Amino acid sequence: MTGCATRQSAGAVDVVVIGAGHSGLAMSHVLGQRGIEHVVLERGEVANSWRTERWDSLRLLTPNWMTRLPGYSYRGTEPDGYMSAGEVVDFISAYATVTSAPVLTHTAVTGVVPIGESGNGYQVSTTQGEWRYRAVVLATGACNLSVVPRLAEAMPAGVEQFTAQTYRNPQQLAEGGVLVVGGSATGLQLAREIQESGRPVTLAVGEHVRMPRVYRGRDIQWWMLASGVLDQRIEDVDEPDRARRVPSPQLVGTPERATLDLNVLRIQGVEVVGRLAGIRDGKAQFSGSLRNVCSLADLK
Amino acid sequence: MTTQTKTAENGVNVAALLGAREALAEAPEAARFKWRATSEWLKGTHSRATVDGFYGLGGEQKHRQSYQFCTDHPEVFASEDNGATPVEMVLVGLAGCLSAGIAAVAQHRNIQLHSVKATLEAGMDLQGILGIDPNVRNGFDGIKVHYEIDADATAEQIAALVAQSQKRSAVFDVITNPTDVTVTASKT
Repeated sequence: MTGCATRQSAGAVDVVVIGAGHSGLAMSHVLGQRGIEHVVLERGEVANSWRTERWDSLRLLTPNWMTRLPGYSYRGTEPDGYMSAGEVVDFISAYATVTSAPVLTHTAVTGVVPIGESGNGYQVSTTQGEWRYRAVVLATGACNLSVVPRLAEAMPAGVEQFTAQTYRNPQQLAEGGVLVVGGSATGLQLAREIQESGRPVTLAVGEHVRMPRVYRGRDIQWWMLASGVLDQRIEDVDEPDRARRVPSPQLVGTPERATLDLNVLRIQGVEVVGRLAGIRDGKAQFSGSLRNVCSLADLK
Repeated sequence: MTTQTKTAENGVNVAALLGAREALAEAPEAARFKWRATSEWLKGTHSRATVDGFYGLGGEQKHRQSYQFCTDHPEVFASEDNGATPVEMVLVGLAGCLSAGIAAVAQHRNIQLHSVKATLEAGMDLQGILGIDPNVRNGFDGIKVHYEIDADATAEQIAALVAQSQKRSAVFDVITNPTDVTVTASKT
């Protein structure tokens, strides 16, 4: 447990923040600055999903100098490097300590129900008891549940399936061919390391966004920040639904600041195929649209 | 300096298309269409298909007139060649769909088209349909479509038109992705 919150005081505070990751802790910090009493409930430890739901080789896609939270930022010696998952855990944990965040760890929230008419607050059920709060901040993360396409149900039972949350490293996988479904950062990174492990990889690729890691000596994230792309708000785009559906970029954070795209994987021996479109009679069917999605990735 | 803003004239009513998009987003039932064709075998490999009605916008619809298409096989297959082969009709459908898409996207992007010519070619190994080699598929082993486009646009803008048209093409999707097909029969 971090900070000074106790079970007794939790029931009397105004605001509950659910989740002690970077968002929840940043929220806690700014609430504290405004003198708003609050508590942060965390199902496990601080930075829990970074401890328990990341593959071994994962590094952030943003350079260290961009890794900053309200009142705290990267202080290491490699501003152009990319943090490993373990380093992210250390970073977030240090933030919780520095900000004296009132975190109750091992307190999983099991339900949030509004009390009566709106404005009366919320009844929050947890594994440590029932509490009432005036306001609830959900900071549980945007990627807590894997989205597994329904066609996965048609996969023959003998084929072991993993999601990015359950995958750790290639050694976890049986010997033999591996199908990686998805052509954004995760799919490309996993395809690369699984292929390197000697398991021949087929990578199913739909629409994607290709980017160089470095352009004119600067990280692509520097350009996106400098050009205002990262400041664009969803309210300001013409078609928000379409904007939300734009795939996240194909990127990887490596010490060499290398670009990872389909060409790199093909040279490595990965077989790149179209989007996984169906499974019939135990055979995977791939879309014939690969050429066009590759064109679209460069024409945007 | 005066700037003249010209509106492209490709014969596509983009306002109507955008209006339909907005209306159908609000009315998912009306957006569900059923396309239909009937076909009658005449003789040998010769059949005549008719297209006249379809379902959409919540009700039965009619084409302006009924259209008929003959399919047959060529003389090298010992047929009478009374029409295009069915696989050529697939190419016809793909070309019509992609070109319509190019026109619509061009109109939306205010790009004036002058000519849009497509050349299509599909490879097929007859050892498949003749049952000679079970490893050869019946259908095409690939389709190549080449567009020659004259338009008031850069080569890159034209490439983007063609790419966007494929992204939103129904026939491109039908061909590139598996579709569940149910064929039943009854005795009359």
